[in-house]
Amino acid sequence: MMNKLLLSAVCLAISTGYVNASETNLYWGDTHLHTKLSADAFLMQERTLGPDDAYRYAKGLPVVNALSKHRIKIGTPLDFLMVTDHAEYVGVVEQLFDSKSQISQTPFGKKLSGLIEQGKERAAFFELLATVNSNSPNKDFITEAIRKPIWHDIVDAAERHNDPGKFTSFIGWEWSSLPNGSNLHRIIFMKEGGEIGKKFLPYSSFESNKPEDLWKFLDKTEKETGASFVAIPHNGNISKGKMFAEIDSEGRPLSVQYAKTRMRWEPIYEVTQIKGDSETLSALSPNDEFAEFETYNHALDGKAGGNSHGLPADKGDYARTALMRGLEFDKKLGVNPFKIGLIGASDSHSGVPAVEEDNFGGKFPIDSRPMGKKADLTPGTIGADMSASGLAGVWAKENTRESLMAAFKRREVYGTTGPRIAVRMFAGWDFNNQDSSAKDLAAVGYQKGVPMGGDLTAAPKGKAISLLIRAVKDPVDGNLDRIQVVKGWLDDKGNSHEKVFNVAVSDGRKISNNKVKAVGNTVDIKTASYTNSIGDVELATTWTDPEFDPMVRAFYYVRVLQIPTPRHTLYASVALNEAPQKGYPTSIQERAYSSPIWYTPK
Amino acid sequence: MKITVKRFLKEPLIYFLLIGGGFFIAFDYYGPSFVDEQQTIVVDRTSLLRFMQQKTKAVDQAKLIRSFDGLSIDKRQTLIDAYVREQALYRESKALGLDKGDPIIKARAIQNLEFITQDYSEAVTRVTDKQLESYFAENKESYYVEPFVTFTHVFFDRGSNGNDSAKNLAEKKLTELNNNKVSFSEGIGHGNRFPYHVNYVERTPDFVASHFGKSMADKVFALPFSNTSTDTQTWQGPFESPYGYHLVMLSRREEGRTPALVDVAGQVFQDAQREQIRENLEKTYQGIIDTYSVIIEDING
Repeated sequence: MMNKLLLSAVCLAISTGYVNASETNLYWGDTHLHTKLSADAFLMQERTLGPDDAYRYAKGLPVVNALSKHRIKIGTPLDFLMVTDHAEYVGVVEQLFDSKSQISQTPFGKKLSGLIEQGKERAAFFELLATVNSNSPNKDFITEAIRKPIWHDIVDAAERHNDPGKFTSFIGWEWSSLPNGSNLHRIIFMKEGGEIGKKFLPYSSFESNKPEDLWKFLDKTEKETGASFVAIPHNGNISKGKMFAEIDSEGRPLSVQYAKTRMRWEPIYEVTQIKGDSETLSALSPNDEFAEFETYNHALDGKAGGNSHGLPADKGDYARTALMRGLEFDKKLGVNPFKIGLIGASDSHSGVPAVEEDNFGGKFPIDSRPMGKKADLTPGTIGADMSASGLAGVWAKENTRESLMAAFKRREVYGTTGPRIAVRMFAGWDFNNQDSSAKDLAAVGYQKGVPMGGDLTAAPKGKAISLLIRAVKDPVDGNLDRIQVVKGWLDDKGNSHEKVFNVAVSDGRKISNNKVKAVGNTVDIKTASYTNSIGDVELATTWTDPEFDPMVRAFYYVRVLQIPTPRHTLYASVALNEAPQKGYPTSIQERAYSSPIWYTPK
Repeated sequence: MKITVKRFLKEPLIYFLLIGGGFFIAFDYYGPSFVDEQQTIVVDRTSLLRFMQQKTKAVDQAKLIRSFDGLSIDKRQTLIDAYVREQALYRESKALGLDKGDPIIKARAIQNLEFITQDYSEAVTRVTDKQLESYFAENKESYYVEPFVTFTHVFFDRGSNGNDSAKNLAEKKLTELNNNKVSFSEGIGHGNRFPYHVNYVERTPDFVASHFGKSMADKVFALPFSNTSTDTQTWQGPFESPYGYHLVMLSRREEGRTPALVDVAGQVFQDAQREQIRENLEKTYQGIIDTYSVIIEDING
């Protein structure tokens, strides 16, 4: 009797474990979106779409393009969205355009609304931006009386659209720090609802442009209000080396305290978005033939940049070098300040999270139109410089604020440059070749290993790390070319290294000596079309690190490449019946980046 | 606690302003007998608490009171001095007419009125059943529910089996599943791994088409099926998708429809309420404007 009871208890435990394990579902969303409430968006013609419209678009409802006024609709609806308007001057510009508003009666307000009346809107934008850049905000524009009702509107819209189990909205904002033109922006979001959201006002860079002060605010506000926050650094490519610098805001070498505090608040990083891709550059990763994807290096202050190769390649700007630096600090301090998961986000200022290449909503409404690809946008850039990217994929139990937030915190999330490529990755010591063809691969993965974002330590004697990986194409996008594993490690002198492994490839191609024949290209530049006659629907493999050394720190992340598909600029050229725009690729290989898994020797 | 005008005269700036800017006008206006009354600042608990809240931006009332009561005598005096200073300077500038015509103060005053109006218009909002019904009737299309299905499927991969063999395997499996009365949840034990999901819960035609192709999605939505009878809950197919062949078991299918008000009342109520607040607000502003007669003189210079 006892035995029988015990047996059924064991069976129950196993079966529950099994069911729970495979229960994470993939949810897609955008963590970085601006509406007309953001000063720059409004000045750049996004004057009609507010938070409600953004949520409606994300849910799959049609809305009206802010500039062209035609009906726009997302190809595949999202599962979650954060509306994250700039805290600085939030909602102010809309009021400047109304000469009767309170703000327009103030001296600076009068000047700007005067410029606007003369049609010099960009001049007004740069003048306003100058007060942001020089961190000398106009006091009349940032009073509590101005900010509070706008913030409450943002909070109320999020509350209206949150529909647990079906669609999740998060209350959030962007802290837009730009010291000397270094973009150090952070997205901040919380898992609680409006009641707590209304107990504070968003922290802006007018209060401080130092991340350390932002973290202090988060800590204080959590204690005072019961909120729980996560901060996501903006992609680092235009941070002039500061996003992952080796010194803090005061110029001191990073300390243990800095590392711990940063990791408490910033478990993930925006690796790709409309203002380009921040994985790595050829100059930083010379042996990576797929580096230098959708590079964008135009500093926001317009001082550096202004041509296509404005900013120098800096290890403090890119995700891969940041992860490598993280290992170096981990050895030095015993804490890794840059243990970051990777996601994509749009940073769209068009009021809609529209990053599908053939349905791109633009950085601003101006470049959502075909002729807008040649139009001037931020200093030194035109519409064609923008990238139709990216999205965050989240492996969570359910589509709720609680569950998604937990996944962000444990880094079981990843990023893509737009397509919904499904990527599973697990690391363990006992994966075998059959595991990659298991019908429920995730169940095996959770049982024998840790998912992306996790850690392994103390390798069992004689064993090497193996990764169980599966990637499936976006149902409505291009097939897959290959799965690659990017490994970074630290040698015994404390120097970091990187290597890219080809681990699974399409069309029965062979990997020999880590080399693979290119997948080909079916893009027809006359019609902006492609066929899925090359590439695979699904790739899966078990890969064991052939160079594993149990004594060295390392990280592993997966990069999945799609077959070449038309870039948004090609769709525009074809629509205009013109030759492809010079200086821009006609096709690109969209990609997914998993969050890493770290190995730390015992 | 009362502080008389004498103490203020120690403040050099006030002294300067009084001399330089209409000292006599102010005194003439108020008259000597009013001096004590008008020039008195009453410092009480309520005004200090409000002052402290305004300075610290504290939200938690109880916490505010606790920290106020916990102030040392020195700290309390500092707070009183700051409050008195603010009051005195504010009143003096008002008395000197410095608030008149100032755009910031004007804007601020208008904004305060707007806040009050907004609170008022929210407070007087009452969406009656009748209004709810008429709002719903006018905005029905906003609440349209797309058709959806819930189903599971057993998949046979064309890539690994070959087309003919995948089809054959599916046909054979169909008989087996139905003969053995294999249930919805047991389907997962059969067939090959599909790139996407096993179960599709409450999915719309577009979504199903994106995973299985339009032709198969149309067929699934057109299957003979009844939500109320278990007879139709059988394995059906095989259906062809771009990936291979599928056996499908439906467990629910709903037609596209405009829901009854009772099903979406919560959402409709919120929307109607927002609409009403907007209307109330506009009405209130218009009401205020209407109390003024407006004379437009020759404005063409």
